[in-house]
Amino acid sequence: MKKVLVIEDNEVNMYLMSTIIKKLGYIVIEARDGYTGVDLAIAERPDLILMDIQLPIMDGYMATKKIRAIEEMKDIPIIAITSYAMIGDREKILTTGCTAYIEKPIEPKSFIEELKKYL
Amino acid sequence: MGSRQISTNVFIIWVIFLTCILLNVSIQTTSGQNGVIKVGLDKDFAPFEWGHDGEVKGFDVDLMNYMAEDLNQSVEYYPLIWDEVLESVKNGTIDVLFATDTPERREFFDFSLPILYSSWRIYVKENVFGITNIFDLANHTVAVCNLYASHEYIKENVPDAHLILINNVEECIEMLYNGEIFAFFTDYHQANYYILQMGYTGLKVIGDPIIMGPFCLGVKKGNHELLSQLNVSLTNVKNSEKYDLVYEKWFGTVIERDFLYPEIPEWLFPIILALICGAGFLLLWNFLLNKSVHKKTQELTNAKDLLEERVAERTEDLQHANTRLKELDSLKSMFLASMSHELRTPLNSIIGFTGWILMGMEGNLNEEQKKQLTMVKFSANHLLDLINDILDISKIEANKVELAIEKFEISEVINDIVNSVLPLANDKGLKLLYIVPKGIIINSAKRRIKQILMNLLSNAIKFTDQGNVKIEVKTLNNKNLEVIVSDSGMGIKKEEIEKLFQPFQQIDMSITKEHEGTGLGLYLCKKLLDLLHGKISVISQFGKGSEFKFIIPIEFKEEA
Repeated sequence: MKKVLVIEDNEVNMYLMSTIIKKLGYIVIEARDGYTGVDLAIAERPDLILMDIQLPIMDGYMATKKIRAIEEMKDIPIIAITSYAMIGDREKILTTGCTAYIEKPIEPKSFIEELKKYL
Repeated sequence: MGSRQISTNVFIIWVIFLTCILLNVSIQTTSGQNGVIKVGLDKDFAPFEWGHDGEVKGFDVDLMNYMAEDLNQSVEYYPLIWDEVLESVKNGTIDVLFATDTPERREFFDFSLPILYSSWRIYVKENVFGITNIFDLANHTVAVCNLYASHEYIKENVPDAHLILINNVEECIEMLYNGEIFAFFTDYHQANYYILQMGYTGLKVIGDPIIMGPFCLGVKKGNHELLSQLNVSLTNVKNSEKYDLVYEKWFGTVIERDFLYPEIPEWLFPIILALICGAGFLLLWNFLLNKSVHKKTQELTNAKDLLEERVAERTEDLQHANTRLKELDSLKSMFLASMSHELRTPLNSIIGFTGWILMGMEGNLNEEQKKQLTMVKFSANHLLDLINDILDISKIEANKVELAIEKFEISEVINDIVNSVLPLANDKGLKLLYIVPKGIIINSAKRRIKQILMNLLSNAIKFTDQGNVKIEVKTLNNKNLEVIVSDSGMGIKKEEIEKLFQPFQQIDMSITKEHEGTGLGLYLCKKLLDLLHGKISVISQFGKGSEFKFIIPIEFKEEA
């Protein structure tokens, strides 16, 4: 079974995403901050990471960099979850090392389509 | 001892007295013996003495006549060349001459008491002032009589004077009168005589005289008897009015107006007094005026200071207010941005879960449940649009927009948008036409242009019930990109067009209910186009359709 690491500090969003992912038949690993996210990425070796950018302790950019710095995880797909307020930051997100981005609010239909691209 | 001394003195005085009496007797005897006094005259020394045998005249002659009269003797005159006169008196052929007493002459002659003092004087026109002595004649044109001692004197003492040598005094007077010279310098009595003779007025004597010495009667050295007689008679004549008569006859009283400064006529005094009073009055008036001006100036200065103080206070107040306003403005934008973010988070879950449930992932829904949940989702999306627009506008107004300029092909952007709105157009049965040439690459804010196009297209579809919606793209001079979105919809009334690009101005509130929008779309489009140095305009015919046109530079530059 494929594992998806979801790094998101908002409980409701976390619940929505994990509900959708579990329904699709994958294992969900949850992290509430960037620091824990990096730890769990190293420990669990997920098949896909969903990364919120605005996170406590360590933000999404830093967490992405840390994960990419590990040789075994340099090719793991990381999908950034961005808010509408971050329009100007999309380039930055992609150059940091994210594979793609999904804009909030999450539309279940397009969210599922995006997930299926990488799993 | 003392009494002996005094008696000796008294004796001497007595002897002298006796001698004098005896001498007097002898003089009387001598003159009486001769009976005639022979007087030698310079035959060419006017006005003192001149003439020839049988006819002599002059001051000296008249004076001598009176003196002879006083002595009760007769006189004989011998007009000669001056040197002959001197010689004749020296050798005793002539008794008396008239001459200036000089130390050289005293070797040969004894001189009487002075008749008058001969002097050299400066003559100028009446209107000349300020000459006090000959040294003031420097740099002036001055006439002097050639070969006169006065010429040598001035030449030696005032080398800077422009001297003109003239042959006689008459000519000097003539020239001065005609203004050809500034002054002349010559013998006082001689000049006075000629001025009197020539009848000229308007000339005067000025400055200190150069005294040449006493003019006297001279006798052969040692002829004491005659000299005493002459002194007595001269004193007698001078003490009578005869001397004055003679003097006046020959030298006149003409021009002894030896003022250095102009005489002030008497009639001028009241005028001068009036002027002084007037000046005094003016001074007083001026003083009072000054005082009042000073007072007013002080008042004005105070008023000005007060005013400046107030202006400074008000300026400070205004600056405070301005700063506060700026703070408030940015606070407003920050509030909106932050509120938008906070409002969006719960919407994420509303939209997410309604979408999830509507997909039937949590169990099947009946029709009514589906209908109601769709309404929730639609409202949530509308609310999200509103919040997004507000967020954009507040960001633009707070100057916090990041444009993210990139190179992209416009046809691709239009394809994306057409694809996303095509379902909406199809639902309403509208034709969606687009004329977009391929290969136009522009350097601008891709996402913002998408946003603008999306707004215009969705508006066009929203307000059109039948017909078509058309997108046209073309380049203008390879510099600008022109995009036209037209429709065959309801159109816009003229009076509404002005309000179109203002916030929360959706035309006709009844329509708003039917066609939901944020009322911020066109305002946001305009704001975004301002940022991209573009322009937006609209042409519309009510009931027939609208045409929205925007132009942006193909190459975006930070400072346009």
